[in-house]
Amino acid sequence: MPFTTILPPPDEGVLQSLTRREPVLLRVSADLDFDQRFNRVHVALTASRVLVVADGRILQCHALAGLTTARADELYGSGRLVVIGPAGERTLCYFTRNLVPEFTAAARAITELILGRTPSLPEMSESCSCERCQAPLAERGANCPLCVPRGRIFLRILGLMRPHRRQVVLLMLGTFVGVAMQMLPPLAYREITDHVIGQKHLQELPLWIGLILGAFVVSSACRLLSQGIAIRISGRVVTDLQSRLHEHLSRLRLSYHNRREAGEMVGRVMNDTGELQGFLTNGIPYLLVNAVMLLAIAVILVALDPLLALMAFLPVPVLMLGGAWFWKRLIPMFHNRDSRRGRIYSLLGESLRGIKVVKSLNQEGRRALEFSAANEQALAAHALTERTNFVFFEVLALVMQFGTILVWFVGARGVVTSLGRHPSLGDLMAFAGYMAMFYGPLQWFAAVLNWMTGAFAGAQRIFQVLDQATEEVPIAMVASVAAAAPATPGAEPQPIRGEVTFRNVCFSYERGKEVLRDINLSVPAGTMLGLVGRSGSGKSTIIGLLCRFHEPDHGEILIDGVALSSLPLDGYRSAIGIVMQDPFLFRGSIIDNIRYGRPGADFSAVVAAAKAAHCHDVILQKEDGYDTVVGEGGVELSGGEKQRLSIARAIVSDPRILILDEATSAVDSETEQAIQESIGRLVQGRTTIAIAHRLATLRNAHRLAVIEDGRVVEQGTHDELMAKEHGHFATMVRLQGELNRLTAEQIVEIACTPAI
Amino acid sequence: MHPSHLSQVAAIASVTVTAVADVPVLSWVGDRVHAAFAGAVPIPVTLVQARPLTDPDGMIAIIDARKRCVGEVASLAELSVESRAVAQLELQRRYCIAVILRVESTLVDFGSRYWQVVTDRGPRRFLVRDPQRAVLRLPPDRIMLRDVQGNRFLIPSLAALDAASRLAAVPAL
Repeated sequence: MPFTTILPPPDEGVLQSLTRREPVLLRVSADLDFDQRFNRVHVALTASRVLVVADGRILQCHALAGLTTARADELYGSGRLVVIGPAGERTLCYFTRNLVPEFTAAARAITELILGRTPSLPEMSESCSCERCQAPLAERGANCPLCVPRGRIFLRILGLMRPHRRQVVLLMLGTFVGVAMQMLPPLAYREITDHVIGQKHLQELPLWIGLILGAFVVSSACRLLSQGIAIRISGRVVTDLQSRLHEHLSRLRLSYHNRREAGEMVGRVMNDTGELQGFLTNGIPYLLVNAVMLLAIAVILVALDPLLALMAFLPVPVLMLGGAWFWKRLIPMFHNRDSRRGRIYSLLGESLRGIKVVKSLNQEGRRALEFSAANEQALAAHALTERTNFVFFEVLALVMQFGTILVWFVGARGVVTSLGRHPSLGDLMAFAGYMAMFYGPLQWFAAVLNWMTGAFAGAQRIFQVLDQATEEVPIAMVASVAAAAPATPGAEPQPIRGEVTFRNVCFSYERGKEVLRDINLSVPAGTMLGLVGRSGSGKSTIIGLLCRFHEPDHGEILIDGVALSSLPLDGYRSAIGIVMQDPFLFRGSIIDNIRYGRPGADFSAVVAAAKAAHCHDVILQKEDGYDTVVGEGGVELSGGEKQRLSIARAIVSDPRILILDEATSAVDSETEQAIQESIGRLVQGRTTIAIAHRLATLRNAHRLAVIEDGRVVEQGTHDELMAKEHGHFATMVRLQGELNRLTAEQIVEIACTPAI
Repeated sequence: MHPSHLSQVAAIASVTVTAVADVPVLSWVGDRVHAAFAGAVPIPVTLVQARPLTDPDGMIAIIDARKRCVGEVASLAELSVESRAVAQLELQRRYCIAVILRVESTLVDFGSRYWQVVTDRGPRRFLVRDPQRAVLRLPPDRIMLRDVQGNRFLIPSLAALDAASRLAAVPAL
């Protein structure tokens, strides 16, 4: 059963007694009661009834025969499941936003049963909280960052270094030799103190000095070598990773990008990989060197003098635990500081991007005040962080000094009372030398472990992206389609003619929030369909589905009678051309932008397309002609110019299916007329689906479909729809005509009214 | 703005926005609020607060089934006693904002802020990301949190929280 949950005994009892009489087809638990407190209320659906159960009682019972439909409403911070009958609406239960997908599916199942259809009982296996630690998740089914499998991630990070394993071996060798060399000088100090100075064996001095010098030189050389290798490996690993991420991101479905901001993705490509690089360059060598060194020093200290070693180890728990305690408090401060700093960047960017609006509305003073306030907050956060940081290190230094003082106190007494035997003055000198090396890394260990956590979290986010399936048709699906299709040995793939059919298509961007419902459209090859409707009605989503940016939740889209999902994506996309409301130009020359879809197109084809799109003359007026660099940082083009370039781009691509998404909405009437002429040439012989708010621009469409609230509410030819006096389309045309006339009249009236 | 310009703006606005009607009479039909304007047949409507964050007691808009604003009242006080009771109950049901009474713990983990709280609706764990958008500081001292699922949590006054709650909350804000 899809939504089975562990019910409290009384509720389970009610459902069990019910099950004996009639099987429960679906049960789903809400997390708000009727007072909207966080409590469990259960909705159970049988073949004939829908029941609401809580605290061992049936609160509501509705016969399906007496209902017309069910609906899940989204409210502010919650939602409710509603059934509708002749007596009006009844609320079955309330639920938090966490359960919107479950209850939307439940509403659909109830409606299907009411209508006498077989209900589709969807699986909802992905939870919005971690199954292990119950922490809420950012996305359903996502990995819980608090339960990061550090070992596995660490192995995967190490796996990135597999192609560089020889260098890694060299890095480790350099590290071990370097640490061994660092261990030598304090021992040499002991020999110099006890033998060379104490027993006046001056002839041994050059030997010990030479040894110390040699140890320093080899240790430095090893550090240089290790660091150089670490920098090289990490740079290569991260560069490869960034390229892989970029390629993978561009192949992910649009639905993935729709849920995220471009900034977040840029952050993932640059910040997370940067953090990983920092850790690979500095963190891993640091951990490696210091772990080996701490172990070696601890062994040497115990060997030198167990009692003094005990004194030296006394502050270690304080340093480690105190360090962890402090860092736990410091990290949020760092985040807060960065967040405040980010707010300043954002305000500054906004001020500069919106400078025209700020100036035209005379709001410079207000912006300055907002910026100052944010700046002050950032300063306060910075000061608090730095102050805490400073206190942290001072306290740790004091604790370390305590250990050193203790060793000197006990050690000096030992040296004096031992009368030159053990511990000797040389032992104490060596001890002091090792202690300085011992405490230093300890205070940073907590910081590096935190750093490691950050790098691991970044690495996990990177791996999450790389593990996302791309939009290529899964092999299994291709195989199943191939198996289902009648085998015609040696048959060539047929070129796309352009017949488009939408059959009962439903779609939601977020599970449970349906934006298209039961869309049925048919566009014969070579004809034009106009989509009209209010903003947000779902027109662009239909286009998105046709481009296969998304997959329908239900129903299917057919191209020339073949399921779109079974067509090879590359081949299909090359048969589509899109002219968008706000065409995007890449940084590059005009010629490269026009032939972006067909990079091999020769210049004459580009010129022919530009002429057909009425932009040839405009391009030639630019100083660098077709070589003019446009896009970010390039020459600014007007909206109409960009639009015509994008039409030229579509012409060069020679698509069988052409999509015009508000292609002329952002241009003046004269330019629009020119663009319409270009479009007129472009659409000839192609299947065209056009969206336009200016209804007059669709008069040449063979058929029109009116979309409202994600449904097709009217379809027909222009004349057929206009003939319906109170039809949706006729009303829209009439209102648009009135609006244009009235607005023009009122503007004239206002302009003629003298200011009082 | 000068009154004459106001009327001109209103004149333009009246073309594009449906004119709003008089004070309605609100009633229940089943569990759905219906509004009747000037004695006409009641129609199913949705009530929404125009400024749910900064002035929840202020303007209430009345939206019809086609999502058009068909009426508005400056405050609930404009409604009759019966209609006010209907509106109050509907708004209470529609706006589900859990008021945080105590913050048990918070955990900041690389951009994610995990909250464990006790609210007026019971205990709850939730996750907030992108605090610039999800944490709204409202005058005088209120803080509205929106979790990753879209649930709302309100701290009516940060200063009025107990010391332990405040200590737990501040790093996560």
